[in-house]
Amino acid sequence: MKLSGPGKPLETDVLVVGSGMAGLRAAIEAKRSGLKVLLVDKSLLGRASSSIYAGGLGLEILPKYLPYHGATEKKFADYFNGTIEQVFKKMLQEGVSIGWGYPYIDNQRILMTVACDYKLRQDELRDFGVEDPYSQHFIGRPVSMGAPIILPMIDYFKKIGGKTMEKTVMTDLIRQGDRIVGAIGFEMGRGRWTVILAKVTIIATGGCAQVYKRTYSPTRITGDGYAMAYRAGAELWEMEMVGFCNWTIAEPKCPQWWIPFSYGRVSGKLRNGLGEPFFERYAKENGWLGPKATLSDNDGMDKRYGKPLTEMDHYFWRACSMEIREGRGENGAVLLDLRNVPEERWYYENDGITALNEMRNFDWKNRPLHIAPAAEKQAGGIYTDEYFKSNIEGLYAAGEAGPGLSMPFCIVSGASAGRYGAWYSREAAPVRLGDEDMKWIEKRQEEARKILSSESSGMGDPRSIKKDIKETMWNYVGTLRTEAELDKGLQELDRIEKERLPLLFAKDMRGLREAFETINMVTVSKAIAESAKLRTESRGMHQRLDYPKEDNANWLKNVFVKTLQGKMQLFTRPVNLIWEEPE
Amino acid sequence: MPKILLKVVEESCIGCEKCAEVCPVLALDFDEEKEKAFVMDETACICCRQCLEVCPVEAVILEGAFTEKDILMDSDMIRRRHG
Repeated sequence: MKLSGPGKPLETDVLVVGSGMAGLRAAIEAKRSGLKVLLVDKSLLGRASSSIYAGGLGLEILPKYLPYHGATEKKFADYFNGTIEQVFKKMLQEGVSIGWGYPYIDNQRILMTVACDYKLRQDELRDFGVEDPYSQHFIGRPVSMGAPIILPMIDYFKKIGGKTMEKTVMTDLIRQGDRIVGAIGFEMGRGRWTVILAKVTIIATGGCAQVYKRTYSPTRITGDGYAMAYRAGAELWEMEMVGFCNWTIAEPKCPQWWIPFSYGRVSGKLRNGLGEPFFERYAKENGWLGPKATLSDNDGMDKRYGKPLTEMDHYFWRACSMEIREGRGENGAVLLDLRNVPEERWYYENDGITALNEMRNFDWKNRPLHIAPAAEKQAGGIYTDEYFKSNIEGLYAAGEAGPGLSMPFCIVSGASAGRYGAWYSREAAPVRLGDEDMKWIEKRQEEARKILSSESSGMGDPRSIKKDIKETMWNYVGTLRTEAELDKGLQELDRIEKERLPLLFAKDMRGLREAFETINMVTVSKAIAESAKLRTESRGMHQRLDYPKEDNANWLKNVFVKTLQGKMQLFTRPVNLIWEEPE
Repeated sequence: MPKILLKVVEESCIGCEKCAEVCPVLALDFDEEKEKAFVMDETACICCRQCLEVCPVEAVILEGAFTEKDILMDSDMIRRRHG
């Protein structure tokens, strides 16, 4: 298979890598300000992740108002009653921050931006042809909830003159001195190496949960943006903050996918392999129960345990992980007993139908269903300031690729990165490549050609290497971490990097894309493992068995990862507690 | 809940790769040699139906989940609740 090119470099003012919610929003904003904007995606536009998840924009911010309590738009609006400061405080205290549960180490300026802008940005989606930005569920679209938001935005972007390239894999950012001046990669359709020059590059490539064996993020979510930014010298932050979700099916003939938030699911009973109601034990020991907890199996889990379910997210996976770890699981899972769930609870909202569909090959009416935690999202990412600018000129990041998470974060960061990036672009010097740059571009193309001409082998098969990475991360850098296991994980990742990556081969463009994804997954996995090792405390999503307590005396800090002289270096910076601090 | 049927009609498939691109779970994959999409793992399918949406020639069949009745019954409940 040949890799031709590069032809003449493409030139644009603003390059956006990734066309999900955040990337699209950034691209629209930059285009609306009158600049040339090129939006590229390694797959098809808008179909990688946001089209599945972007529904239920309102749900992200509103843990109390779950669908089966008959939420309406009026109730959503109530959350924003009060001053911005009150909303900000609510978000910080309820743990519904940009990071979804790492108390008090959020960037408060960024959180304030989200609190201020979120409602405006959600309303504004109507300008882009989105019919109902407040819809929890688009009727008739049980799973691909995001498509009614994403698809109109793609049309709008094109309508206002935005340019797009699909199946175009960016492999590296072009760094000139202290500046990012575009990116290089290859067009799958043409089999051609490509250079794109841009005064501003906005990375919106989503998360990296695919580095874990148990995950329900879509196939292409391999952390490419994190790896590219890292290689170019950008700082990553809070990579240890991987969000897991407890409610993921672990039955051989069923999809490894989450059972969505649904009345049916929350009516089930959690049991371990010995049939014990173990969660109550952890809840009592750790003080996780709310004052009005009924502890009745007839109630949904929110009433049963007395708290909104989103607040208890990480309690569930901690308890289930511990049971499995201590040998009281069954086949590496715990059990969700749905046998007595009244039929109508599944039909309350269409998430229940989604759940029924996923369990279709299992007789859940007569047997408890195996579930186990799975990786869902990455709260950390490319570090940026509150203008969504990274530590390098010309490089911005938005969405899950940036320093946060959640659908509100995607639209706020997307709009802001697009706006501030556009402003910068107007002031920035034109981009001109020098000889050094051309040599480096050629070198990278040679590396891609080498992969295409390498012999097939089991050791070098990208899918096999991905499996190796995923097993390693699940076993050693999973939900409950210890120093010894993290070290073992790093050893295995080192082995994969040294013994398998050099043997990577590809027979075609799809294979070449998988090869680069595999390389990126190793880098990202190392960043996660190293960060998890450095943070010697437990906080929200990051749980250390050897350091089980939250340590505000020593750890009101953020963990950073950066490449310095070819090595992965880690350091911390104290959190800037501008408006709120822990008691 | 009826079981689903996920199928690629090989004769109709034009090898555009779109269904394999959008599938979030690798239930559908693409055979570069045959230049046809194929069902890699039917049990992985979550019925997001993106494959149906992107196929230009209706070569992808997905039957069984989310029957008309389920969706209507569910939509009805949503309308009643949201007024």
